[in-house]
Amino acid sequence: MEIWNWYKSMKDDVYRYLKMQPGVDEDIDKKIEILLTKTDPGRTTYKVFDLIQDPLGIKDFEPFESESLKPILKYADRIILFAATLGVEFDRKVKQLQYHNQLEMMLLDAVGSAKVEALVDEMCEKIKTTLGGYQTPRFSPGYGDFDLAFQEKLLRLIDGHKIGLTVTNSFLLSPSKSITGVIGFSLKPMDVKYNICDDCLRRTTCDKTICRRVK
Amino acid sequence: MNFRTYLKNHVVLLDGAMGTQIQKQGLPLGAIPESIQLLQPDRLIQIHKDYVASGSKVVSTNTFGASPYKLKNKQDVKETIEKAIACARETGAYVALDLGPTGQMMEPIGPLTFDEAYESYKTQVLCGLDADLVLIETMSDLNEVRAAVLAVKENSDLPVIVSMTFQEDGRTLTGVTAESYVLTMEGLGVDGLGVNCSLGPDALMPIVKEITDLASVPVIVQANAGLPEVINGETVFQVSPTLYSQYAKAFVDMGVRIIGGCCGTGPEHIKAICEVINESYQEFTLKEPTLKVCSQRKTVDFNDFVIIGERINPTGNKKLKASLRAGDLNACIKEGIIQGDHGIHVLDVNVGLPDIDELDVMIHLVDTLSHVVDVPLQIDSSKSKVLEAGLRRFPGIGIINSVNGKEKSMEKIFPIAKKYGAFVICLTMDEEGIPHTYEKRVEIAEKIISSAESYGISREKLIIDTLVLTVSAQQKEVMDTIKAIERIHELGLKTTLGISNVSYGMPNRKLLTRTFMTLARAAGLSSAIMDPLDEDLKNTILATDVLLNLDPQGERYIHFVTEQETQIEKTEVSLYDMVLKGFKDQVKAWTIEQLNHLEPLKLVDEFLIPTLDEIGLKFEQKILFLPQLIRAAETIGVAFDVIKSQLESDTVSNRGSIIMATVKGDVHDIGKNLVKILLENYGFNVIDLGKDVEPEKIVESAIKHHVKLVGLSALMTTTVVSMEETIQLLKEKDPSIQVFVGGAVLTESYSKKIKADYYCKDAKASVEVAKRIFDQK
Repeated sequence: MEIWNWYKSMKDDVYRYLKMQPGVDEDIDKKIEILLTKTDPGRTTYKVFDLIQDPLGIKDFEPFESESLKPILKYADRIILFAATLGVEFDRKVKQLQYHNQLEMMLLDAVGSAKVEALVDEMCEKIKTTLGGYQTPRFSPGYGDFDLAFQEKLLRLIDGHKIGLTVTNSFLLSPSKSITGVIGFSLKPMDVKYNICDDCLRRTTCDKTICRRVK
Repeated sequence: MNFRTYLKNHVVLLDGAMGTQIQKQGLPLGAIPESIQLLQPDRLIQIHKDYVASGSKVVSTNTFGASPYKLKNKQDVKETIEKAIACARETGAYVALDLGPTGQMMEPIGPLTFDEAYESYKTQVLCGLDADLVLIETMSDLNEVRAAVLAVKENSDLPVIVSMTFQEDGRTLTGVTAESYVLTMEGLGVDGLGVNCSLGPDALMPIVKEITDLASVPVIVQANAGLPEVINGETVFQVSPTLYSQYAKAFVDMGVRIIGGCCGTGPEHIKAICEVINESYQEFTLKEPTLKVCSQRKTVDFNDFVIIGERINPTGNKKLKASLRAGDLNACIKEGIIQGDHGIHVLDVNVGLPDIDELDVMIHLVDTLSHVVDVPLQIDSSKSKVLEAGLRRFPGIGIINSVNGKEKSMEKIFPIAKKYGAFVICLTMDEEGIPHTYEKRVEIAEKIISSAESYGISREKLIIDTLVLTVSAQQKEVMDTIKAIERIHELGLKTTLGISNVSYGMPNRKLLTRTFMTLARAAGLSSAIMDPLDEDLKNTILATDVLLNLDPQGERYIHFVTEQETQIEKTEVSLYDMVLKGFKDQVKAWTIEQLNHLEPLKLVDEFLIPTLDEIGLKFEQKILFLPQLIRAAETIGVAFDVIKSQLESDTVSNRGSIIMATVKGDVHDIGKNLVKILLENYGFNVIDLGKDVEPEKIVESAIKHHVKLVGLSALMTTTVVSMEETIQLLKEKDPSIQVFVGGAVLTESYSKKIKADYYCKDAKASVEVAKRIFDQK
């Protein structure tokens, strides 16, 4: 993706999270622009493992107990486990704003959500240049029936602590603007289309905000 | 020879990586590396032996992840550590009990409290008393290291060496600088300190240089064999043993005393190092320690004038008193952040109120302030227990306020200062009170200094306060304070004064205060506990320093002196527009002017509330958006603050009290905070209990403050369960309590299912709920 498009799509995401459009409020537009350029770029890490199909799982590791993952990984022969985080400084900045500038806190929160997504997009592009091949859409613990508890195992498998990422006892990631997930990989093209909501097992009970990527 | 003695006269060769060696032994994917000592101890012994055969004088136990947090219930901590030590003992080398991070993020960013971290390390230390030393490594969080060091020192006599992990930017992942790290660890009395992991030896050079320049204790380096590179999905390290040994030699030449390897290094690396360094008996010259006050990111050396912000102090501050009594720390934290933005170098924290749990409030405040304010903290209390509790939690070198010349005071305070490496403000008074003459005050200062030195506290860590008397009551003695400053300054010691006390009871206090400041600074005063929001006072310091030739070429003066506040132009813009656009200064000026001819309550009811209602309506109609609504609420908050400061009572049009919390297990609090600010600016009193709050605490607070409306927030499907629990417990204790809920995963129907009274789809909806409940009465 071209750098300009990448930036623009990140900015679109910010406004989407804020449920407003650019151009209605000059002050807010300007603040978002500044926050987007000022925020730290963040860190990512990933590892590639062999995937086996029946039962679906990482080779030499316990099988996944998830129906949602099956259609995604159906054609893949390897699996990329990844983690990304904007880091502790970001959380600290939000915490600081919480006490004296709620508007900026709210804007920064939205910027952070967009930025960490963009960070993963960028990582996927880089993986493409190093490994070649084809990738499935990425899928994170907590989507569909993919258990949040997998985050802990995932971080252990790829040494997530090296980018400063931890998981709490209730399986939340800390620092807060972080993403972990899996991507199917193959050297052959894979016919995987996943409409993140329509194909989700939870579509009837969810109000579409669990996966913040929903457009 | 015990390890401490050996370290005194030797460069010490450690071992290399453990993790990669265990993986080579065929550890199953995702298995706990510490399972090897239970399942295949022979293999672990072989790894240790290979290192010792290559030249390692110390081997680290395979216990990096052997903490209760990482092993959970999968493996017993005691057995894991004891077996690991037994395996390492087989080699005959010194055995280092290896301790790694807990793997949890510390408060206030994550859920782990300081005490929990301490207990976890204590458990490990008590299982590992048979080791020869403790090596705490790969750490990122300064307070987590501090908890670990205290756990070692308070539960054993073992030497303790710490090692943190730095990134390319010269900081750890949590933002700690090398300088703050060295100061803080030496303050706690570690036996060695340094760096390991993350970077290759080349990239570590500048950081190691900074540390060897500063540190007075032996420095340790265990670098990776280069940066990890992912090739075909495998992590590989590229630095060869020979190249690594060249770097190791360079480190030792820079003054590093303990050397080994981290990720990617093996016995061959250690062997190569062994061949190029001199390990024989040597006499090392000891460097004097650097003594500075510091936070995780900033240091204060007292070369320039030090402004100590005094505004976190409930004495004479109604707003702070009221919020502290309600158990709400937000007002104090806000005062800290504002002062941080106003150029303070140190932040004084005083929460001395007779009817609150001062100790508990102090530790929570220190936890948060040390993250949201960059400057070091000064812990201010008349109770030594509170002083110790505050210092214990503070990640850095703090200041104690204060000790005085009474024997009892010195006996209590100096051991605490020594233990945590703190600086101390020393009041020149004793059992007979404040002496009238400056000679007597200097005498007391000298007594305090020699007492401090008998505890091993350097006089460089003492800040002498010669005590300001009020000019209205003791005019004759005002200059004695200044003369005492002069004498103490001549002795080469640091000084401070609570500068504004001088003007108490006089008109135009600020004028007297800043004039007194000029006299004191000319006498050599090196710091003051003062109001950093008084721009004139700060300008006076800058001006005085130019005249005293303390500011070469007036550089600071030219850079920092501020112009008199410009009069805000009167605008014809309506209140509605000012509020909507977020013009805080104009709103403030407008409110002050309106108060000249309007009753405060009338102003609230006829102007402020209708304006907010109008903006709220436009939001409902989707003409305005949530960020705009929040900005309007914040802006109108300025008007409320002006009104509150002019009223006797603390409860300006309090429409009702509401408790807000993010439920147990959930650490997301953005949504809750937005709801809070809206409610507050609609005139409701919000008691904010924070995030990850136990159901019991919410219930207890509701009962204690007689609150009938509780707002709960949860963002994850996994934490809605705690929301349900909280509601159930609330209804059990008092069925008349109403609960409204909100958060990303909640829906109207789900909120009914968990028996909430109201579901709020957004922040504005919660205002409607509050209005419905309180305004009907």
